[in-house]
Amino acid sequence: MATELKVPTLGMDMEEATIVRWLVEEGADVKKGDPVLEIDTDKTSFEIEAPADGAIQALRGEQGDILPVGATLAYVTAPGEEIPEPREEAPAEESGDAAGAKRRETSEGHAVPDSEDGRRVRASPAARRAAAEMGVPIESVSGSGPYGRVYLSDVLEMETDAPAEETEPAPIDAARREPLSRIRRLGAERTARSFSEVPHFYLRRDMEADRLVELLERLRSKMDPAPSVTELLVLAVSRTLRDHPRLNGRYAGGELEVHDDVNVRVAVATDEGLVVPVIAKADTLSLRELVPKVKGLVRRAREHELSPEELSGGTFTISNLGMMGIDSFDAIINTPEAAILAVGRFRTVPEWWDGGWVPRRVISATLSVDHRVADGADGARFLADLQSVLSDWELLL
Amino acid sequence: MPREITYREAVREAMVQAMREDDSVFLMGEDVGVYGGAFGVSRGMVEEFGEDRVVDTPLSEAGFVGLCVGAALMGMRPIAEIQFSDFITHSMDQLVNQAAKLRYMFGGEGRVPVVVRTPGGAGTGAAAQHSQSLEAWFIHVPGLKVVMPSTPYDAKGLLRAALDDPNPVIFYEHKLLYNRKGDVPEEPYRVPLGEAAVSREGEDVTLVAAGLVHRYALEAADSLADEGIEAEVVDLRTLSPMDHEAVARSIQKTGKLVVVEEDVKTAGWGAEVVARIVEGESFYALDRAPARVAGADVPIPYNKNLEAYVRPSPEKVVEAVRSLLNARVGVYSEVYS
Repeated sequence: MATELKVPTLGMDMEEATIVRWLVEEGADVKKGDPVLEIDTDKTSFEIEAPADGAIQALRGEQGDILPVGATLAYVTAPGEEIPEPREEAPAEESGDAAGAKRRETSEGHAVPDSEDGRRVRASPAARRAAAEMGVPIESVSGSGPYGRVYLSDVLEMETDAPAEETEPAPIDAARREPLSRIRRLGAERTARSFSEVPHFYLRRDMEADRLVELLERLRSKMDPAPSVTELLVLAVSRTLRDHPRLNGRYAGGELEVHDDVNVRVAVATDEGLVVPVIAKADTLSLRELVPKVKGLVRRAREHELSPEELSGGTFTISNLGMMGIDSFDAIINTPEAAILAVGRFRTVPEWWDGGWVPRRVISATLSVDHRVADGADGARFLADLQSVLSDWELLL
Repeated sequence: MPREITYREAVREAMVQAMREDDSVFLMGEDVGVYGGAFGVSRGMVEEFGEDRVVDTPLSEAGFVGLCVGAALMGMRPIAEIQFSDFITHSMDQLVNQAAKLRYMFGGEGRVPVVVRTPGGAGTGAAAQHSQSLEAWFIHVPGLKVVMPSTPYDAKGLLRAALDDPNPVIFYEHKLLYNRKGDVPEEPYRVPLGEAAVSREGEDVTLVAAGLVHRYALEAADSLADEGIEAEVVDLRTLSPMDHEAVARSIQKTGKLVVVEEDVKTAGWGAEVVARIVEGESFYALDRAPARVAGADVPIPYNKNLEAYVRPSPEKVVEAVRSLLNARVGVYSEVYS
């Protein structure tokens, strides 16, 4: 039997991968472990290795093609082995063909499912016929039925949506255009999707931080490496999240998905854009374990050395711009997580206390929440509990 | 001048008018004479036409149906009444092996213009042996025509057309339709066999029905209209030959098909309606998987609640249309892994 090379899954929220480039030619001899293909996920890019020794054949997909997890990419065959025949197509699809649905053939003549990403397009016969008559590729129609099934109304809607005439955008005097880095490009897509699809709301409060400052100073002489504000926040937030499972969950098609693990992400600015590594099970790590772990992840994020596992599976994100002088800001939720905490710089504010003004150290905390998952009161309780910890670290004992 | 009479009276009027016009027409069956028929359809007829033309028989469906087939071959136009359509089983050989075959086997030299009238269907608490809807059996026999009128108007017109027809016709009435009233012209008229009627126009979904449950389809369409769903209702009227073109024309408009039938779902006539739509060019007009509202695959229970449970109802039709439009019908589970 030929060995099948499939799109691997690299994290619980990975659904598809984009082909960056093949590193081998059709029919090339490969050894198990040789890199054969570079792919992008929505988190990172990585190389796929040959699963066996032999000749690699039936390469499927070209640069830019998006394939679902589990899709066949190629076969590695030992001498004398044959590539298995693809499974029989359902008769309904044959009929779909007759209606003019688009279908591609590989050089080996294997039928390829009719959508670009390798998935079977679900469409009613009437929708297929109308699409064929209108010259619209069925896979380009967004279906309103279950699993994206395309109905006639979806196809007809495209006709009404289509502008009567292509209007050229007004030319602007662009000095130059430059390609976005892969990280920025993926970031652009993800943030746009999150900001348009997820109903955000924001809770802002100043956190009293006198005890936090005191703790930082005390630990500076006692720990090497000494913890930063971010690392202490990861410690406090991860412990607090245990009591707030909603904010550690995610919205999944009308249901709340709850996670036992608290996997906190930390946003790291790099020269190529934002990278957000994951501190898995952060709530189980002691401060001595956590500090080098976070520092290591941040360093390797800046050097773009993180593995796909270190970039996926987060349940909550902290973004700290305090060291860059920002008072406070509202962050966009890192989908599919339910919330993100944006932290500003230390400020000293006057507070009326016992008949006089006293200076207080505070940092701003803005919690962005997916309203499908949690309400204002849920977020407010979380911030109140977090404040309790920041004012009294012994609560973590 | 419109005139309202019952379905029962419409059937009787068709028989009476045919018998007045044509001496070769006669009625034969159990209790059709002095008693006027188990459902009163032939009441008064023996007084007008005498016992030679309105003939009481023993409990002997095989015998008197065979007698009618023979009389038809000899040039008469007999009407046999089977008291409950369940009893038609006794006469199966006469209908399937004789009536349906003789014209073909004699190279067209013989004709069998017999009409077998019989009330079918459930809903009267008459239990398993007096409630069946067995019409699909006869659709399966080339040479037989099967008619199932849903209104008094069609009952009269279709029965006259059946009596004109040179071939055997099984004419399904329904016990729960006999008292239903409708406009029926007094003068004789014909409703052609094999032609469906669109009894309600709509754009959103096609309900195909026949017989009593055609009423259910119309009632369901009214409820659906309150929800903003406009159903088109096609009354097949004749099950064989079936007017597939009429169904297909409606599907071209709506893209959605729900069959409403009283017989059991498995191998019921609704399966034929769906199959014809799916195997033809009309497949490409479908925007949802077709659905059937049919009887459950069980004998009709005696208990009233259970009987209602296994039968179609307007509510079940409404529910079927809702789920069809909500698109949860015919959806496969996610297949890629």
